[in-house]
Amino acid sequence: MNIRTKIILGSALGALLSVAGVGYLVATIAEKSAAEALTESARNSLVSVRNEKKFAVEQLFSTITGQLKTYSNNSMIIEAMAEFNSAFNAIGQSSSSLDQTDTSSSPRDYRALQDYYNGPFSDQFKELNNGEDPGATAFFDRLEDKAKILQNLYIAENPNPLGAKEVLDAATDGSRYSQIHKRYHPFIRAFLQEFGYYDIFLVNNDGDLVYSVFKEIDYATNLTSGSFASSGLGNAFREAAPNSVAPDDVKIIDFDEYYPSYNGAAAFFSSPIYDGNRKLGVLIMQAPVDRLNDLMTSEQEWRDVGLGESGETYIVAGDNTLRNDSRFLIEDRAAYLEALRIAGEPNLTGITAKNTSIGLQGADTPGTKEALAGNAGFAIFPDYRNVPVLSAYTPIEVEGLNWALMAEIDEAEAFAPIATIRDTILKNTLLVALGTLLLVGLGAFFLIRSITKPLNKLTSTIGEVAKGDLTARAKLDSNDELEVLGNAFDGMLDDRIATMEEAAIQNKQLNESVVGLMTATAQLADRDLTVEVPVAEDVTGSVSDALNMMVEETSDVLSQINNVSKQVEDSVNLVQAQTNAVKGAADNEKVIVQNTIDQLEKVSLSINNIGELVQTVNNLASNVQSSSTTTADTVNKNIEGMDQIRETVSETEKRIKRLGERSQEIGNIVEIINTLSERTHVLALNASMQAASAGEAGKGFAVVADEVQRLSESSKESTLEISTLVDSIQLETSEAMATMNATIARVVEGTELAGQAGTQMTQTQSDATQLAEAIKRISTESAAQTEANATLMEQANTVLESTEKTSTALEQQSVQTSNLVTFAEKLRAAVSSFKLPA
Amino acid sequence: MDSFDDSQKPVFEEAVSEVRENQATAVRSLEDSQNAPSTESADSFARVNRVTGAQSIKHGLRIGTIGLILPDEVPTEVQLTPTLCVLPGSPQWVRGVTTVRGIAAPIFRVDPFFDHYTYERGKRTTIVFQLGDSMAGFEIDEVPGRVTLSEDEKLNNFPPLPASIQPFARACYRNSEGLWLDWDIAGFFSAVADLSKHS
Repeated sequence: MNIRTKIILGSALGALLSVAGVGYLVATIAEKSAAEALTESARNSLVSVRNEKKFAVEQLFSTITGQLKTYSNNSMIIEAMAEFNSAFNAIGQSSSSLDQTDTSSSPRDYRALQDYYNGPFSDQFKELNNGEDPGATAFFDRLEDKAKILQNLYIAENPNPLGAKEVLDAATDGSRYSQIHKRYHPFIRAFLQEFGYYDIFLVNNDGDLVYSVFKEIDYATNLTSGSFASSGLGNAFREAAPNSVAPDDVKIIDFDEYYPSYNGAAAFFSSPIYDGNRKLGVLIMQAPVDRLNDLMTSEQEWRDVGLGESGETYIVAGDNTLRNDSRFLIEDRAAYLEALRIAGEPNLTGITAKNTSIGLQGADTPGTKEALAGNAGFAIFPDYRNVPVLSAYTPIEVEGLNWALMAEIDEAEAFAPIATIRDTILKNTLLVALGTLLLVGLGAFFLIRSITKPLNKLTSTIGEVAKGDLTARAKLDSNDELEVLGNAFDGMLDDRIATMEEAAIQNKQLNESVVGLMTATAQLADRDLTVEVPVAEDVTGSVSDALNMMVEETSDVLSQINNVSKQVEDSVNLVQAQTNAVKGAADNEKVIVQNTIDQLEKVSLSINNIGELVQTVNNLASNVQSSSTTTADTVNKNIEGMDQIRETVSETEKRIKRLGERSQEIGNIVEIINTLSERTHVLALNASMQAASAGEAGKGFAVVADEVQRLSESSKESTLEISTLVDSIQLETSEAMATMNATIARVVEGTELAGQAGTQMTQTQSDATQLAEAIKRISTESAAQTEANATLMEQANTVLESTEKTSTALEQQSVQTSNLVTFAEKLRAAVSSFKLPA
Repeated sequence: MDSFDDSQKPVFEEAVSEVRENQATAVRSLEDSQNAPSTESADSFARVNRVTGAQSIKHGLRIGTIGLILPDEVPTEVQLTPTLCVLPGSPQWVRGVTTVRGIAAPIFRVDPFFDHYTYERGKRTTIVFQLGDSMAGFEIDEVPGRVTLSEDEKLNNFPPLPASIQPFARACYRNSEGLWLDWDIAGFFSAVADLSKHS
């Protein structure tokens, strides 16, 4: 892997790690903060909905029990109970057609009633129960005689269709029972319609159901021995029947399937009827499941009450089944049933067949356990579909019932914004990483290009010189250390080539001098001592002079030569030996110097490489220092921004508080206006009544009084609306202040985290600065070492050159010394042969 | 809620009997007047009918589930916060005496006369009726209001009414607001006065 690849990969990896680290930190903090805020928001919303529904349910039951308590003590009901009981017991005993009815009539007389059981009743039952056969014949066969008589009269012969039997005020048989029925039925029916009950029953002390409004097939049966003795209605009677039950006591029987109402869910409320201290019977009201269902399902307007796409409220009874329909059954039946199948709901078949959750859908979750144990709270757990939900649960405080109320919303919907935030941060982090990668890549490319280009030029120049082009030069102009290196290299080439040319000229001159010297020597070799040797200006000049002098002196000394030549020969031999010794030492020294130069060249190459690396690291350290400074500035700005946010939120909270105080003052003023309006209303009312008592004379004044009264009523309505608005403002103000306080706490926490990040960044910045300074010192030391090494190399080369010259000179000296011995021997022989001048 | 004890019932029933006789006389007068179309009726409601046609607009007062039509011929006045002077030794259902333009008016509670009726909590308002030269009144929870009635809403048979009120009911109507009684207020106060004398 070359330097370029290493630098690019290193820079890219560093940038990616930095961006990824910052992105991960930001994403983690944002996700945590968002999750806490969303959980708190969902908790407040669900608790609010839960409390509202709890209040409404308890209010519903309180209203029903209050009405039952009042109605059971009503004089009309007391009289009705007594008279219905008397008439019921008299059936078959008096003179009217009904009263004369033979209670032993054959079944044939009740064919119309049997047709009703097997016809309209069975058809309606099948329609509402997915085709299930009600087995009505068995119930018909078990009917008591009086029940058959009354049901035949008020159900079978009732001209009104099924579902509208209550329209009949009385049968036309003229019996005492029908007279009593005609007297009381319109009032009890009006009460039922006014308050929306499913049915109202009067039961005597023997358990005979002597009266019901809707005349279903429980009408006139006996609740202690008849078919419905063990039903919810029978239980309601038994609960209220004992003499120990006080007149104001109300008993409640929880919702359960009720056969006469086509197996629909029904709850019963019962209270004894007393006439003074004498107990006459029991008044029972059948509660409408639709009203509770509409209340809990918010009339299927879940989104309008803040429950979003998956929120719902439902009631779970002590048997761990629902008391209202699941939202998911209503909105997406197929998906709901599939979820129950996966969750292993045991009553799936019943829910599918009857298309209702009431009394069938199981709900045994941690929340229902807590609420049924009497605890209210908030938690996250899988609901009855095994889907994780945020749940606010509470017990319902209705005497006689063990109910829990759950307000829940799917966790996926509540926390959906977190995924959006996370995706946005990851997307932005990816974009920043790609941008950083691109910038770092471009920077590294241009940096490396500025280094490799001069190096390539230097390499090509060396190649050309090696091929013999001595004019080739690098001529770098990169304005950096590489340019200095190139110029030194060019200078070195110039010096080397100049030295080589000078040596060539000197060799040529020396050759010419040697030729002249050789010519003269050849003449001398002919033993002509008269020859004169030409004298050159080079090193041979002195030899020529010496030859000339030697020729001149030779003659003089030849005579002496013979004497001393023997001594010379001996001395020369000694010199020869010493020369050889010196030459050997010079050769050893040359080898050592050459090795030293080789080592120095390797060291120089290593130092150069280190210098380049140090320079690169120095640049990277500068980049890191710059990046950490920028990041520290960003963190400091972030802290300043959060401080500003905290101040702004705090100021907003104060203003909202002042708004709440102002709204309180408005409420006081509205109260004064309301009092004035009330007094004006009464004043106008008195005027109106006075005008009315004045007859025709007061008509004009009555108009004025009416207008004043309308104005006062309008004023009262307006003040009521203002008062409601003020209450809403104060409530919203209180909630807004709570939210503001929570926001301030989070901003403070965020500021502390940002402050810690700023401290860490400052420490990182300081470390990066120290690192950059250390690298810079290494770079300086490395440059000095390179310079010292170059000087050492130069000196070593000088020593090498001197050693080579010494060796060469010693070789020449050795040769010449050898020649000198030979010459001396020849000289002695020759001298003897010379003919010397006289 | 206060109620009568057994010793008071005969007195009240005696007063009621007397009132019934007066009422019978009034009914006979009413029938005579209805047979003579050009003659003004003593029945205030009939008088209003002639003025407004099929419907009549009256002042009405609701006490529990029963509405009382205020007769136009009896000057009536509502007082928000009257000053009451308690009468020592008087029955508990007699609240005291107040003065209306110099005339002393006894004020009492009506819950003993209306079955299952209980006053709501909070401030009490008083309605005072001028019966000739004297005045009397009782406490109410709600101030009177306008009520529109028609002959179509008139009931042929009276529904079950509180025993103390039924003798003074002259006619009964049922509209969307509930039951309304055209009642003999003078007779009612006469019976109440007799009751208070013997308490």
